[in-house]
Amino acid sequence: MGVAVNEFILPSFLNLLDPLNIFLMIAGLAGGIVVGALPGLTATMGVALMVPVTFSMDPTNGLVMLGAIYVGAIYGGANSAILVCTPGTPSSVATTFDGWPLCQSGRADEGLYTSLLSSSFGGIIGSFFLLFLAAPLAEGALNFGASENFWLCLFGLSTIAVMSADNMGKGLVSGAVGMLVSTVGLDPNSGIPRFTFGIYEMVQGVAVIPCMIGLFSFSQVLFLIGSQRQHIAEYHPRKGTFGMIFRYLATKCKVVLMRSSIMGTLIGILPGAGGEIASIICYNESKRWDKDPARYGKGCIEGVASSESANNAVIGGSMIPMLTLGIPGSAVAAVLMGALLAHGLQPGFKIFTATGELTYTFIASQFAVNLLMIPVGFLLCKCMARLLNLELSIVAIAIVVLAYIGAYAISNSMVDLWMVVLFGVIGFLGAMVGWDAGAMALGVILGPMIEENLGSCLQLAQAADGGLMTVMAGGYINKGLIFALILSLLTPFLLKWKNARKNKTCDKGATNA
Amino acid sequence: MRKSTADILAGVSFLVIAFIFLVQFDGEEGISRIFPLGLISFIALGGIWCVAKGIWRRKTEQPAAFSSENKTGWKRVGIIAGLSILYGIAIPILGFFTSTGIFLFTAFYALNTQISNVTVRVGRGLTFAILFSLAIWVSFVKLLNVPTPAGFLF
Repeated sequence: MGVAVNEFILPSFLNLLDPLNIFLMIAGLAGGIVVGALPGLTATMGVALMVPVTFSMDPTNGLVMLGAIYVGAIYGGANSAILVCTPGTPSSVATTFDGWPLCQSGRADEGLYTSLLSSSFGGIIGSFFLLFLAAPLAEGALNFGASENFWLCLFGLSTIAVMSADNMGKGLVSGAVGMLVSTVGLDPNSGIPRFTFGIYEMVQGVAVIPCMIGLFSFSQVLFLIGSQRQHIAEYHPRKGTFGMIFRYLATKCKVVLMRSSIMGTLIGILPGAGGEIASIICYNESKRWDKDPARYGKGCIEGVASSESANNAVIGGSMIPMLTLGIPGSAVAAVLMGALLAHGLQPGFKIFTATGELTYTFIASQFAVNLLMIPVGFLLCKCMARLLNLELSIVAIAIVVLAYIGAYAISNSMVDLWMVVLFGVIGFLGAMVGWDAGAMALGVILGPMIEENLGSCLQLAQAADGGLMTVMAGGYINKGLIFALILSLLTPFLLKWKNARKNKTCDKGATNA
Repeated sequence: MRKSTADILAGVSFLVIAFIFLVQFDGEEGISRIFPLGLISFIALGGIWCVAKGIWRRKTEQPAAFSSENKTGWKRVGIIAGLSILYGIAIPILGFFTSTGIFLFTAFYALNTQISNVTVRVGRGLTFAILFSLAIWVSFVKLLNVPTPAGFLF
């Protein structure tokens, strides 16, 4: 380790002082934040768009810029999630749960600064793990097979129980509807098309992003237009809010931030489990361990902090298997891996020695980018917050256009555009009768992973000696995840029981007095 | 909407979804049947539970037990939803930017009825439509190289 520090790590940090690298980090961050804030334009798209541009650059400069776009785009998604209840990227779905209520109560600036500082913190923790613990963590991730991933996704899905504690029945069924929607298209086990309703284009399935845009963005347009308000929300920026949020996060949210960042990194290491799953699980955990979980969903700073620190921590985590094993932990990591290969870097454990300086410069740039994100994001979120001062009808009409262009850009298909309208109307009408759009979104995101891993487990069980139980419940990771799942499902009941007991004690006290 | 009515409508909508997918459920064999069939059954049971809960709640619900939600401006919702659908139909025919310009102007005109002076409303609508379409073209097509749907016109 000492050799690596002297030979690679210290020079790599010095490389970052190159003015061109600093410029590329700032430009990449700003571009990434804008791309991330626009619904439909994902981090993957932002990075993929810029990969060809980097071919004419020095590999160090190119990779530093791509890393900055990735970080910026994941954070950028929070801005639209908070300001217009539209997650810019799927990773920011959980940010809407508390970010939008904060905005509606005139505290949009608090939400924006919380997301900025938490994203930066989560990113730094993820980069720390990437720099110092990459090898052992990558080996640990290899222990995650189909059954472990299945239980992990179910654990993520159990968020519904906590999220819709007041209306758990409808929440669970909404989640199931989301999962059923995700089954449209090719069957992952047999490859046969199903639930296509006679429409050929439906063979490609329901893409997650148009569905999210519909459920959160288009439906929100209908709500806002129907509300007869003049502006999306009242916005009264107050001086000193940034400092106040910084102090709040540093004192009262340090446990939430640290727990979410570490969990986000570990989830990011698992191939296929990206920022959306990490942010949902970490939000759930923060709510579960909070002394007053009832304040979540009503504009709670901790809710935004947990979701945003987790999804940015995923970045460092997803790069661990990519750099050490050549297995990308997320779609963006896969695109980045393509860029690494194009620049002549061969992922694997030797990447830290054979091309050590370049690799460590890339990792070091992640620390710098997450620090630079604070001033860059601060300026940009101030500009974006001005959206709230525009007339509501103008913003709503503009959102429809952005939603259409974003949905179409995913796979150049008009079907995606109609999905936006369909899920928008479902989200709007469904909310009136108590459907839970958040739970449905979780189902759409986690459904394919659950089905694929369940199918693999069932196929394995046919060949395994002990049958399904051995495959599904064998090993300490499976047992741990099953225990966590049961605990998660029981949480709302435990909290109700605890509150009832507390109220009973208070009543007794009042009667005695 | 009364809570009991919301429960019944939610239950019916769950049952409709389960039925639609059940009708489409065909040709699946072995392992492939388990996941979708399990979900359809769960949703159907959830639907029945919601309907039953709504009926039971209606019996015990006070007549005044309406939820305190703000009234929805259905006319405005209908306008934006209808125009959005027409916009989607027009894109492959007229082209993305022509349709966008028309949609932006029409939606602005239709939703800003509080501007009583028609000339002002038309002027502001046209300015908004042209500037926003231009901004979209520059930022998405020119800067980000994002593809837009093609049509007969621009």
